[in-house]
Amino acid sequence: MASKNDSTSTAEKIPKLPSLESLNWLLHLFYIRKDFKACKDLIKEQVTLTNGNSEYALYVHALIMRQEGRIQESLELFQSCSVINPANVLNLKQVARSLFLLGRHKASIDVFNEALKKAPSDWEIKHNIGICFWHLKQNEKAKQYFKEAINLSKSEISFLMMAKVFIQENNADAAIEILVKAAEYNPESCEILTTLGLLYMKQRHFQKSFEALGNALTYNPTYYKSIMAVCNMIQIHNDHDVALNKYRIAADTAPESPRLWNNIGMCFFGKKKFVAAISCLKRATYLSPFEWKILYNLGLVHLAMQQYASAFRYLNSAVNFRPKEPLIYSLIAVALTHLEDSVNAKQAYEHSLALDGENVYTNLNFAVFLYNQGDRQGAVSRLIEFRKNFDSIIQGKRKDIDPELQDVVSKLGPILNLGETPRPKSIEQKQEKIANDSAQKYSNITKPTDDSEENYRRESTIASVSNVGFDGSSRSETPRTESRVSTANLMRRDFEN
Amino acid sequence: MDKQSIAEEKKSPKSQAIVYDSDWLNAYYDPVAGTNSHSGSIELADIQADGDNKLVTANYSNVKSELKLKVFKGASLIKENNLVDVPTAIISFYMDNLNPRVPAIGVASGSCIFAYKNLKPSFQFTLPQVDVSGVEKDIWAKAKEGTVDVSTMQETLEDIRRDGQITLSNRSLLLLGLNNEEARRFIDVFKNVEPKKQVNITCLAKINKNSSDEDAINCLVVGTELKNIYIIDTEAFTILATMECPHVPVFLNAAGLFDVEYRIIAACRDGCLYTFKRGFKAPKVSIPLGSQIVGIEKSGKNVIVACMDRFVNCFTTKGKKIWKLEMPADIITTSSFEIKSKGIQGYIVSLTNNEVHIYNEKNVLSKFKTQDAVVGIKFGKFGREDSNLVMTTRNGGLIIKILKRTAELSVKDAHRGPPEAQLKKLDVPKKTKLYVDQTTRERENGTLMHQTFQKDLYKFRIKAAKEFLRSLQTSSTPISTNPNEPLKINAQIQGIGPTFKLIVKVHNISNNQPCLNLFMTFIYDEKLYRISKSFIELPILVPGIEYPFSTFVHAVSNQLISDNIKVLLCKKNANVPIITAIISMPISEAEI
Repeated sequence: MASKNDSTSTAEKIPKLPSLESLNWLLHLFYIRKDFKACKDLIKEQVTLTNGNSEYALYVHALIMRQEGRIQESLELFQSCSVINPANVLNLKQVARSLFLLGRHKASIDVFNEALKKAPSDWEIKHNIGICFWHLKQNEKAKQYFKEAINLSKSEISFLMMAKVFIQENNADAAIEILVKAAEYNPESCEILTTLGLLYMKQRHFQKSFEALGNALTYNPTYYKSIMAVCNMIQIHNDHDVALNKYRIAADTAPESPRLWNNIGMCFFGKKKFVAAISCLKRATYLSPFEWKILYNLGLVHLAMQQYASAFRYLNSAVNFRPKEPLIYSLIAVALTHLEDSVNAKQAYEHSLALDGENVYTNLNFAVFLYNQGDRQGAVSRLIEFRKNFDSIIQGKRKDIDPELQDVVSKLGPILNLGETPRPKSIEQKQEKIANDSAQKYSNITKPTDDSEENYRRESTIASVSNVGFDGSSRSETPRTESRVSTANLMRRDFEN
Repeated sequence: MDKQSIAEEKKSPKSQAIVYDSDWLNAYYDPVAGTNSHSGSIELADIQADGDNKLVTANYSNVKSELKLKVFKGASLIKENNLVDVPTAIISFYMDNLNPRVPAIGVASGSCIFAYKNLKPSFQFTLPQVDVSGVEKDIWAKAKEGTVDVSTMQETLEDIRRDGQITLSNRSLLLLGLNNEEARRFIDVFKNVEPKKQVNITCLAKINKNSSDEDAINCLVVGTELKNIYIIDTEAFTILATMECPHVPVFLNAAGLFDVEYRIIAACRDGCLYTFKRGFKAPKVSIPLGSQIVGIEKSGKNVIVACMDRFVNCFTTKGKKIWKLEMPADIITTSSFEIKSKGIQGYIVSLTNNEVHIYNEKNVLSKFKTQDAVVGIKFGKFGREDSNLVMTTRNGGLIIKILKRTAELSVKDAHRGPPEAQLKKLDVPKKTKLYVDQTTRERENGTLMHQTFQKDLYKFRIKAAKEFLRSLQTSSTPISTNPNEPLKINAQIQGIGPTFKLIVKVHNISNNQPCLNLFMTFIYDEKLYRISKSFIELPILVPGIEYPFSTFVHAVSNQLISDNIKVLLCKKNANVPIITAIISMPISEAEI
């Protein structure tokens, strides 16, 4: 270039040098418009004009490469930027960020530290180092860096990361503390408020939780996470129509969420629209086939529909994923009773109670079942057990007790104590009723807590679900049928051979 | 009951849908107006002092002859001026106290500001070049004296650069990229002139000097690539104040009076906002955004910042975040608007989905779709009409819209009803007759169905278990279960017939145990196939190596049928094979 200009220059007049940065503003303008094509054309032009010395052109090129997912190439460009101008902290930061994106956390930390020497009070660097340490599972160091970042900037993301570390360490109190502080500085952040709400929910501070989630929704009425959590609470209070209304918004933003369709299904169930409930739940289980909660709910709804064979199939699948859940066995017992398999029904009841002996519904259902089988002695002992637990629940002032529960008890109690005047027919009806009602109550008790947990464990669900799916395809079958147990044993023996 | 609710649902979206389009008159649209201008290079000003505001645009182009300053009166182009360099930004300002009040148009490009008055170029102001550091200067002085050779010069400059403390001038940077011969000539040309750093302008803004009247004399606020912000007196073209920005400013927003108190907000390339006040060289407040800034506007006392991450943020001037709002698409550019007669002000954003939204704080006042993506917006008086929206599109088109005098631009969804999505019906399938029938059937015969199902399931499981047991006993699996002979077999067939090549690969998968005394044989239907080597003796199999063995298979039958061939790997003196591979043969081609 210079040589070309040579001939034209006179002794006094020197040729105009190509400016390295005269079009940087235009590059930047194209870049922020995301007009990457125009950007690349201009970059090419600039790079040839300046012999590859144009730092900013390379920088923008690297940024675009990164957005296009070509991280390795982007890293190389950033590195050549920092060769051209090692004083620019941004170059170092981007190199480090590329390394981070490539998963080279340790190298990333080193470069960030280098950058930190030049810009000691840059919160972003500290935040990013924190994230690197977090990925390296060095939580203490991560927290320290997040704390420094927060002190410098009060940025939303640093607060959230800090809270995340605490949540990971199961330190909910510290997480709440940090999030309350975060909400002060970022009053309209949906994410902070929702995380806070969910934490409160986990701590069973429902009033506070509802407040936080409600706040989140006033700022962004379409925020999926908080809709799910709020509706969950609304569902606990049996206000299914309101919940359904809100779910519509969520269904618009996340139409493929199994959790959402599960909850919608249970809303319909609460409204006694069983067919709609079944189709929603089936969609949910299609979207997430390994989720035992959906299968459990499907079993429950089929019980209510008196489709006992189907109910049994769904519950059976649920128990395969979750072999130690007493509630499933309890429902299986109800299904088996109706399928006239009293031997296995009894076994299922016993297994359920062995896992959780204090469940009032199981105890009462078992009592009625035993009475109908003619085992008066067993029924009486179950009823006593029931009363013991029921009293303690009443003392605990929990309101989620079905009034019909007491109703049935008040009828069954006298019959057992009165002795010789049974009216089997009416009892049988009652038993059916108990089964249904209590089944319904299960849903109301178990479902919401499940959901809150799920919302909470959003990232980890997949892993945990697959874990559940793995264990116990043979073990879980033990309580139901003897013949099946023997086949399972047979198979196991074969394996040993 | 049901009908009623359906009727309600049908009605409600209509009553809730807000129609925005009616606010604007489509005055003009020219898709090929050749106005490649961004928001900073469009001006509306009364440049001829005839009460009729003109539209001035400065156009960017790759072709130098198309770099033009265009002046529109109404829809017609009345004047074009060629520009020497790419225009960075333009601004209208008052530079004198003469009457009638005629504003000048300042065009910034490179390191100069060209002032145009009455459609004619009138003055050129060049920002003073900046001195380079002492070390660099010394080297070029030595070069002039001829006491330093090319390579030493390059080395020294390289050292300075690597040190990172000083940024070099353009000239030195270019020198570093040259080879020895070129560098020598380069130095010869430039050594006689002292090296200076050229200053490139990145953005322009203006504030009033000492009176808040609309047509009072302005000061220009200029942001440069060297991270400085200058305030320039437009009467004498002298620099009144210099501020140092931590990074390169890309957008400026200035308000106040230079002589009294002013505040300059600069959006920088590091994604931060910096606020400067009168009398301070360094920024008072810095606000990090976490994403690149697409535009800054003032809204009352607050700052509205649009970012690349689709969010529009609102901050107080002290840096406290008040709210943020997510846009449905990426933001291209922003502009501010104010209608004094109606007492409305706010900001306008253009989005990549070809929509333009007009906001006041968080509320949409109006929105419309445009024919192309809008990259430049200016709101103001055009012609004799007060409220016009002038927009340039990505492909150089020009759109002009006039706000209807009846348009209210009020907050239309102030009651903030439920979001639109809540009105949509959930997609729940209806129950079919088949479903109902099956349900009824299950209710009636549930027990029987259950028992049949269970019985079949057990049978199925027993069958599966038996088969599995059998396959283990006869070793008809491709991987050995015997820990003494850890072998893996893999067979494949090549060719189309009637002669095939059968290749069997045997792999010893143990860590350290060789296998001895093995042979391979085949089970096949002799009516169909003939195998040339039906017995293969295997050598010692060393762990970790795959041994291929091959033989030919001839299809002897003329019928188009195929069968399986079993490959048995056996140990001598044993009566059960170690492993078996079953090959399903392809149908053989007929012999030619």
